[in-house]
Amino acid sequence: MQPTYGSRIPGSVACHHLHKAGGQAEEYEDAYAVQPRVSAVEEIDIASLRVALSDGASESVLAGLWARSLVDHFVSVPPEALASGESFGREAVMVTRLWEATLGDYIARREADGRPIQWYEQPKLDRGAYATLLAISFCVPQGGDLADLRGEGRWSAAVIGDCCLFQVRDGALITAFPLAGSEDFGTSPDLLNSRNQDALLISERVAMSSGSLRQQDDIYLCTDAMAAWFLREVEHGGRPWETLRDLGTSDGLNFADFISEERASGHMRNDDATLIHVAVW
Amino acid sequence: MPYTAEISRSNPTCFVFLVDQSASMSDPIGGEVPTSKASVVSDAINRLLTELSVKCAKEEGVRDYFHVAVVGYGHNNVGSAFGGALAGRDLVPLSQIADNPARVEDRTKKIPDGAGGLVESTVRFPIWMDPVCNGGTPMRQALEHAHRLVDQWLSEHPACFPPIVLNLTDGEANDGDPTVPAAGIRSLTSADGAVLLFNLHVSDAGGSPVTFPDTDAGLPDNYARTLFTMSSLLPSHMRSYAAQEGFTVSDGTRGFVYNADITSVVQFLDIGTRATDLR
Repeated sequence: MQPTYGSRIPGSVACHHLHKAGGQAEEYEDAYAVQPRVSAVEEIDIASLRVALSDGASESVLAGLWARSLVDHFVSVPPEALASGESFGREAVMVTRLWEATLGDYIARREADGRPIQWYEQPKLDRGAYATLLAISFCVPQGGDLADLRGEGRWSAAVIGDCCLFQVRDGALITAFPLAGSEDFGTSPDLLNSRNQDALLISERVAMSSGSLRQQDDIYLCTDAMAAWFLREVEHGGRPWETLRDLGTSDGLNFADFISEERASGHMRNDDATLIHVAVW
Repeated sequence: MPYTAEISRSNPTCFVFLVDQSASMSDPIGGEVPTSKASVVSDAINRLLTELSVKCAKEEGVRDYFHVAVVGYGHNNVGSAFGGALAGRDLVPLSQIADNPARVEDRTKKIPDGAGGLVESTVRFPIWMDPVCNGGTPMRQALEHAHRLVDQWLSEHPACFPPIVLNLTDGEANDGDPTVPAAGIRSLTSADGAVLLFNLHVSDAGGSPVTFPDTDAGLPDNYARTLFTMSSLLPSHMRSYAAQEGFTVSDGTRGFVYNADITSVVQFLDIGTRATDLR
C-alpha cells in the first residue's frame, strides 16, 4: 500500500451495521464504502484512506441503491473533491448522471422478472431516490511525519444531511460534525436526490470541515440513529466511545447485541444503524 | 411524550374513513363545473388511499404501516364502502388496498410545461369507491361503528401510534347528536395518546374554504361549527407539518377542513426519513 503524501499513518478501520428491527436484512438502506478495502484486524495506512457513508431516506424508493451509488463514487474521488463546495457539487451531479442507467437497468429487470413497476411506485420513481452523504479523506501534509510526532495528519469531510463524524482524543470528544446535539436530529434532514442536477444548490448546502489527526485518535462515523444516541450519551455525561471502541473485539460487545439492547431500552431509535471506526495507532 | 410512537410493520396503526352516503350528498356544490358532494367525497377518499399507498410504497410493494377501513353511512345503514375485491371488508392491510382497487381510470391533468404554460398529461387514478347517495344520515351510528373498530384495534395494538378516524360529510346527521359518540372516540387511547378524530365538511352553504382552523368564528353554519367542535386538536408535530405546508396554526388548531382538500393529512404522518428536496 503506497502512502499518498509520503508518510504513513498506521491504524485500522472497523465497520459495523445492522438493519432496522422488524425488517429484513436486505431492507438495510444505509450504505458505506472504504477505500482501499480492508479487514478490521489488519494495519492500514490511514493517509491513503477514503470513507463514505450514506443513509437512504426510507420514504423514497431505491434509497438503498442510491446510497450505494453515492458511497461507491465518493470513495473514489480525489481528496480535492472534498475541499470545496463546488467540487463536491460537481461530483454529486456526476452520480445523478450515472443513476439514469442504474434506474433503467432496474426497470428492465423488474419487467424481465414479471414484476413491472406498479402504479403506486411510479410517482416515487418520478421524484427520484433520496439519501444523506458523509465523505471523509485523510492525508499527511507534505513534510509531516506522524510517527515521530513532528507532524500531524489531517482529515477533510463533507456532508449533506445528518450522518455524523465524532473525533475523540485523549479521552475527550473534540469534534462533533455536522450536528452537535441530540435534539438536532429530525425526520427531514438535507438529502441528495437522484434527479438533482443543481450543483450550485448542492455546493451551498454541503457542510465541510477538517481537522488534525494524531496518534491514538479515534474517529467514529455514524448514521443518524446511532449519532443521536452517541450525542445523548455525551449530554448525560457518558463516554460512548468507550463502548464503541471495542465493539466486535474480544474485549467488547457484539454490535448487533449492543444495538438491539439500546433499541429495546428506548435509548436508540429503531432505524438502520451503521458505525465506522477509524483508529490511529 | 404522546404521538411519538414509531409507525412500522411491527407496530402499525389504523385509519378509519367514514363516508357520508346520504341523499343530501347528491346536492351539487361550487366551482365552474358543479359537482355532487358525494363525488367530492369519493374523490377525496380515492386520493387519500392513493397518497397513503404511495407514501408506504417500497420496491417490494406497499408496506403495511397502516390498516384502513372505509365505512359508508346512508340509507339507514352503516358498513364497508369498498368496491371490487375488498367489498364488505372492514380494516384491511394497506398492501391489499394498494393491490386491489376496484378499477384504475386514466384521467387527464394539466401540468406545467416548463415554459410558463400548461400541457395535458394522463395520470392513473385508482378507484376504491364510487359516489353513493341514498336515504338518511346515520352519523351517530357510523361514529359508534368506528368506535368499535378502533377499540378492537387498540386491544390488539396497545402501543400503536393513535388511530385516526376521518369523517367526510355534509354534516346533516339525522340519527341524534353526533358529538357524544365523537367524544367517545376521542377518549380512546393507546399508550401513545388519544385517538384522533378529524372531519372534512363538504357543504353547499357557501363561504370560503377553511383548512385546519383554530376557531369556529368564520364557519358558515351550525353543521360546520358542530363538526369543528367534534374534531381533535392537531398534535404538535402535525401542526408543524401543517405550518410547513403554509397553513396558519396555533395551539388551538383542529383537524377540521371545510370545502377544501384534506389529502395533506397523509403527509402529517411519519414513517421514517422524509423524502424532501434541498432548499
